[in-house]
Amino acid sequence: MTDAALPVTGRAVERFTHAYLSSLGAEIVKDGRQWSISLPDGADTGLELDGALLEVTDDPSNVGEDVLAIAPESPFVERMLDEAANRTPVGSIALTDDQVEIRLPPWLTAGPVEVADRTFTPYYDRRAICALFHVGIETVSEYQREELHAVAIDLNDYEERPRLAETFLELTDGEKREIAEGRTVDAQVLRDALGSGQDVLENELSPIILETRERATRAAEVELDEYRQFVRQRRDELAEEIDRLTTRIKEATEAIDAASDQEERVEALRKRKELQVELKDLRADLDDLTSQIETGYPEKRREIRKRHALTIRVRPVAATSVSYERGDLELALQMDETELTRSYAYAVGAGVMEEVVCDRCGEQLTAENPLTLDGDQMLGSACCSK
Amino acid sequence: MNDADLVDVEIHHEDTDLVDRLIDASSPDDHLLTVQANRLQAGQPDTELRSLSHLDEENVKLLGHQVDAAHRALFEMDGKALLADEVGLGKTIEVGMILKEMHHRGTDDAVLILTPAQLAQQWQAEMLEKFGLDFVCNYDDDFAGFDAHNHIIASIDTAKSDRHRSTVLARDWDVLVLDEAHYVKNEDTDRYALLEKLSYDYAFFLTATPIQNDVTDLYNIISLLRPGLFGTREAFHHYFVNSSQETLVNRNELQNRLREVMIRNRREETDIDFTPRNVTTRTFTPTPAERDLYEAVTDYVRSAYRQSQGQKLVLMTLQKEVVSSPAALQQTVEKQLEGDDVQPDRVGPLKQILERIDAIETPTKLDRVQRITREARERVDKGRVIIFTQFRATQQELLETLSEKGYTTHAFHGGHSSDEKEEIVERFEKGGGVLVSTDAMNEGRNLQFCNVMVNYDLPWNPMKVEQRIGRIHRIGQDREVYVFNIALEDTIEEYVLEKLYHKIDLFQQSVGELSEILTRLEETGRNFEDDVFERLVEADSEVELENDFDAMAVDLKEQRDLAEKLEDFNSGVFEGFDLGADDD
Repeated sequence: MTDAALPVTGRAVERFTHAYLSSLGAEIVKDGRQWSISLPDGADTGLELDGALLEVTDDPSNVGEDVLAIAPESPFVERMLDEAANRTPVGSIALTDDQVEIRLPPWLTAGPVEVADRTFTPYYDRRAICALFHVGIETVSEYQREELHAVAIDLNDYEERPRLAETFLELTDGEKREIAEGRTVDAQVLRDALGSGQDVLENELSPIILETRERATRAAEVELDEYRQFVRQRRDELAEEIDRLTTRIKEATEAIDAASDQEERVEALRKRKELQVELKDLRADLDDLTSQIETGYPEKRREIRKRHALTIRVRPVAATSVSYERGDLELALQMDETELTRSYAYAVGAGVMEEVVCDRCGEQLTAENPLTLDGDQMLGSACCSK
Repeated sequence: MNDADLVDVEIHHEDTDLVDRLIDASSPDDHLLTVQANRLQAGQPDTELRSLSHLDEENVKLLGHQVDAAHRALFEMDGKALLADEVGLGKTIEVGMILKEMHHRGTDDAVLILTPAQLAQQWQAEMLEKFGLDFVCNYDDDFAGFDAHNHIIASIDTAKSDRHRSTVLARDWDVLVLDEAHYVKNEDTDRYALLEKLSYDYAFFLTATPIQNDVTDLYNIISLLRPGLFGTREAFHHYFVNSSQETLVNRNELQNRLREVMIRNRREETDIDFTPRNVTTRTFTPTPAERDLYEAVTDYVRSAYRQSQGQKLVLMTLQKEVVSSPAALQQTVEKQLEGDDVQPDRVGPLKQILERIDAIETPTKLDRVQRITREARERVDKGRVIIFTQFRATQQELLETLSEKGYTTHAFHGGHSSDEKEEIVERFEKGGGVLVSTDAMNEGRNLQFCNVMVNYDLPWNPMKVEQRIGRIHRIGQDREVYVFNIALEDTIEEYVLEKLYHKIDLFQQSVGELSEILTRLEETGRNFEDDVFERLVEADSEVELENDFDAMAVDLKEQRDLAEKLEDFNSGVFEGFDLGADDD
């Protein structure tokens, strides 16, 4: 899972606008920061661009009324991105070693060994789906987060290829590059790959989800705690009211006993009955509160749980079938006077495809335990270097 | 039942039409544009401070830590931040940058800045002069209520008053700024209640000392900004404070949570470096005629004030003018006599004052100030000196006298247009000589090409004195700064200088430190200028007057010491806290 968002700088927006308009077949005549646009008939766009005047600006509010501003967040740019984001969401590319630089593994680049020569021999093509997933994380107490992640799934084993996703993002950062068309996939393969991608994503989002959940829990706790305090306070008030009512009922009973005539007695009886009804209601309220306290406020918890629920929405927005060459990478390694040649399973864009271990102890070589040479042995700098 | 159960997690995999769109697949270029468009849509809208390029560097010099703080508050803290730099590092500038950026992006339709009363106008001036942001202040004549303007600076006590409270609360503010936020730390006060009920989208709270008594203060302030960040009050105490409440525990976790909402720059981490400041006070014996005049005016002010306190402002002015210059005093007295509402029993004493003014030939101060200008002419680059006075008539007299003596002079006062002011400063820089200015010289003016300043008369509000000095003693000044105060012996000025300003080391305090002292004073329900005036008019004898000023000085020193202690305490509490951004 890799963060796929691109920083929306003025330069990025300007570059994209030019590329997108060109892809629509537009003719762009530039005069300083102003661009005059002519569109061919039937251009596939809903933007009213034919004859339009565009201006590259830092401040979209500062352009003339009839001019469309090319600037981050300008209304024109937002409409254009909406249209472009939905235009061709499925496609294919092919990665070959003449387009993509050889990617050396971190266990090599982080250490003292130099690469004197490298040769890649492709044997066959592998395919993967690189998909962009839109992820929305929503709670009531936290700001809504919108993210875009890239996941690459190899179509041979349906496993994740993180370095291939990184390469894919590097190739789609807006710089002009020649990229060849790849091979399309059939619907079922795409469906399966997207499913695997979602699983990978869900797994890798879990730390973010956990952290967001912790924060949301703290906010929910505050709410529950305030309610707890309110209930306890109300319970004490009710208990006091019940005491008062009990006293008044006692007084009413005494009044009944002491009544000198029937009217007085009836009145006292009526009063006592009223008070008894009130007492019953209060006792019911108190019982309810006591039960809430004893059972841990289940209703309030339900209500809070409903309000504070953390919802994560995952939606694939683009999928690219990537054909990439697989073969052997032969590396001539050099350190001081020592030279060695080794060959590794390698895939264009994805890098060295095998784990490499220390010849002496079998420990895996990594960026933290990078390669060093000792005679004809390949050792880990951390595990076995002198 | 566990409180962790309170938040359910649901993951929805939403439907997609990608599989159906397989048939649309066309050239890789078109597809890659779609990929890019999605990536740009997901990108943070460019988090550069776009308005910075629109600021005039002549008016405000931005420092790295300030730009960084503004950026983090806006873009990393989602526009809700506690700016807790140590004093003197420019928290107001940070807020100015934030507000400027929000203005630039059009997210500042309704902005409310709440400050202690004594700082409201200072805020107003700074926002206008440094950032071109026009705010109405509740002390302005044209202030028509909290529902009548969109950009308001107000004292927090005005906002919470019965008269205004409902209109303040009825609005949805886009931005709330709260200066000296530690005064809103107590959850049982009306101020806290106001803040708790205010509706706002973005909030920036400022304080150098987030903790006043115990860490509950921090909990209260942060809870206003980010409810729930620290959980319940009990949970906070239980987790972060040991039972004796004297020390913090779980500091790392506290730091992690604070980092989401609080920015604290420390002086030692910034590149602020001020050159030394030398302050010399010269007191001179007044001539017998000046002594007579001073006593006549003081007696008049005392008796008039005892009769009616309604004339306080005029009487205060007279008392200030008599130590500034006879010329300034003369104008006011003549105006009083010409006015329709002059009380018959006051005509005599006022005329006597005029007679005593006539008896003065050359004011002592006017004579002695020339020693300073002479010395400067010999020893300072282009003989540049700035003389400050509060009164136009004094200014005029100074200009005439100095011109007669062959000095190049420049006048600067509130009557000039902005362009004219610009030209005057330019002429002063190029031509040198003496610039005689009233306090209309705004803060933003860049005068660090000059390093000698004279306080020809002294404002009774220490903040104004600091503002004067701040115009030459500022970031970018690379020479030692010399400040001369001149006063006549046994006058109110000498009392204010000797008893008050020197006792609190006024001339060595930064604006931040001073505002802390003044705000503390205001908390005790007092106003500095009023205090000075009332002590003067209410004293029945010299001895009483002296004792009164001594008492005020002790009081001020206490406030200063308390402010210093709190600052030390906060430094201690946050020691070892790396509250800045991570390097990665």
